[in-house]
Amino acid sequence: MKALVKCQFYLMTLFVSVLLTVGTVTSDDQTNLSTEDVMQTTKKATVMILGTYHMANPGADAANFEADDVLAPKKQREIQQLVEQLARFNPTKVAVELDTSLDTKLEARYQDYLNGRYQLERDEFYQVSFRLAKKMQHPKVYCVDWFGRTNEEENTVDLEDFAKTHNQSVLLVKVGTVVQNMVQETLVPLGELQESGSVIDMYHFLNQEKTIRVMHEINNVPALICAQIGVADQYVGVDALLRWYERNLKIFVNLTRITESSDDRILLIIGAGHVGLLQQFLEDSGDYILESPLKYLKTEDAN
Amino acid sequence: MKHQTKPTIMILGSGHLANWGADRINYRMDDVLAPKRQAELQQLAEQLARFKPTKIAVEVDTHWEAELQNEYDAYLKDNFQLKPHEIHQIGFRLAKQMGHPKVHCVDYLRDDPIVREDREDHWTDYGAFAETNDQEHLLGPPPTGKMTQDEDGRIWIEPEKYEPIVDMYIRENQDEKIRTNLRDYLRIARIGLQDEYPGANWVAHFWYNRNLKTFVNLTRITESEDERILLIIGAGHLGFLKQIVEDSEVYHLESPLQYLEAGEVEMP
Repeated sequence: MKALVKCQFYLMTLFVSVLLTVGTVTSDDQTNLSTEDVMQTTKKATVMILGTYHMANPGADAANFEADDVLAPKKQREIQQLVEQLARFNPTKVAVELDTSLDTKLEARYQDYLNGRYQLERDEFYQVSFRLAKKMQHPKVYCVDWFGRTNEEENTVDLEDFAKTHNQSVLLVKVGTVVQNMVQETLVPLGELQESGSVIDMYHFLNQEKTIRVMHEINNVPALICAQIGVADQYVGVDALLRWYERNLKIFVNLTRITESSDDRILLIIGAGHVGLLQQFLEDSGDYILESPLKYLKTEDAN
Repeated sequence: MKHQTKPTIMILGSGHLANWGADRINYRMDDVLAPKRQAELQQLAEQLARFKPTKIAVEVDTHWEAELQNEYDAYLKDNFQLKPHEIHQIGFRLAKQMGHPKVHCVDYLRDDPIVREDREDHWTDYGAFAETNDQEHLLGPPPTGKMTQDEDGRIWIEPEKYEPIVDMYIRENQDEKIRTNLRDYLRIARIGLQDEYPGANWVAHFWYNRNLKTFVNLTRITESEDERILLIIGAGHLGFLKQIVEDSEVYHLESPLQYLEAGEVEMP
């Protein structure tokens, strides 16, 4: 747990989105749209964001969620079931957390999969997205992520050292508390569900309003606390938060670029940590109807 | 979350009280130094005083802290004529009324693409990109109202009728206005094609960055939980800044509307 107290660690998770990164506010049905908005939404495209854990995680970081082998027969059956349920959303496009520069490569691999020449690897963008896209007879799966290609110099300041030398350790302690709470409220129950429940149970948990809110806090509160690290002309904590913001803003932009008409129903499958901020962008833009995946995810209990 | 009590912040979105035509499209404002306007500003300051601010923060880059202090000190000694912009007219006036020793600079303008010469234009010049790539619709709807053009080609939108200053502030700080504001920036963010994102680059690296650093500067002048900070800032900042303040969970956020709509202060 000690490692979790590190602001630096936290910021790392921002970039790599190791975590099930998440965000704001959803409600069970049509996220947070006021009645007034709903009246005006007849001509808007629909987006549903499925917050996911990373099925094939590298396991290199202290805060990584350790995913069981999703190729095991039981998991495979559960993923099939998940895909069946998501299909009821009738997506017209499936978008995934891969950089847009990989679009052509992913398309080729998807073609191979359709032709029986590619065996799905462990990642959720294969396990869930490829299966679902095939079921829906989509010609391709869309890459909408953006990995830093900016000409901004990297922030190389060690936040922990900086905070200590500038008498701002109290900020690091605050961050540690927030991170630990988040682990208690999200990663721990998720791990328990992996043990005792199904893949659908896990997704049901990840996409609940409360989980999304906690994960929004984990991505914002510590980042905004870190943002306060710095003195005078230095804003050493800000750069990391900016890159997280930039990446999600560009994911939002990429979603708008694959939206062709108001009939589009886009399913975005992305690390749960992104959900809150992306929902915020989609809602604030006023251009989309948001649907929660919860109404499609039926756990055993619900049936 | 853990905080039992938090400092309070109130953000007053402002239009330009003195518009010297810095933008391509400008809103015409009559002279706020005229007696009637001065009375309205005095009235506004008295209404805002009910918030009982412990500090007043304004949209001036922190670099100018010393200069602003000199001006404020001179003003306290009745040795300074307030200029017609909101920093002086509202910030200085109210700070003096509250007996504050200073007015705080919290803006951060140094990453502006105009200032940062190390950046290539195409990286953030979303306006030019939109014009050459048929994306002008993303720049937002054209302004409406009675327009005139001056010798230098600047467009001025003329007021349709006389509007008291407090009414202007009530209008600028409505939730609907703030929602429109967020919507406008997210539309600008979309300007670009393929792997070019001039709109998003500008929104993230300039506009969001500036607002984030303004927030950081606010936290740096916050000394205790009893602090009640009034920030006076261009209304265009309201959308992002309110979100950042809310997400940070550092402050209680108060709306200025309750003070603006309260009307004249009654004699005891």
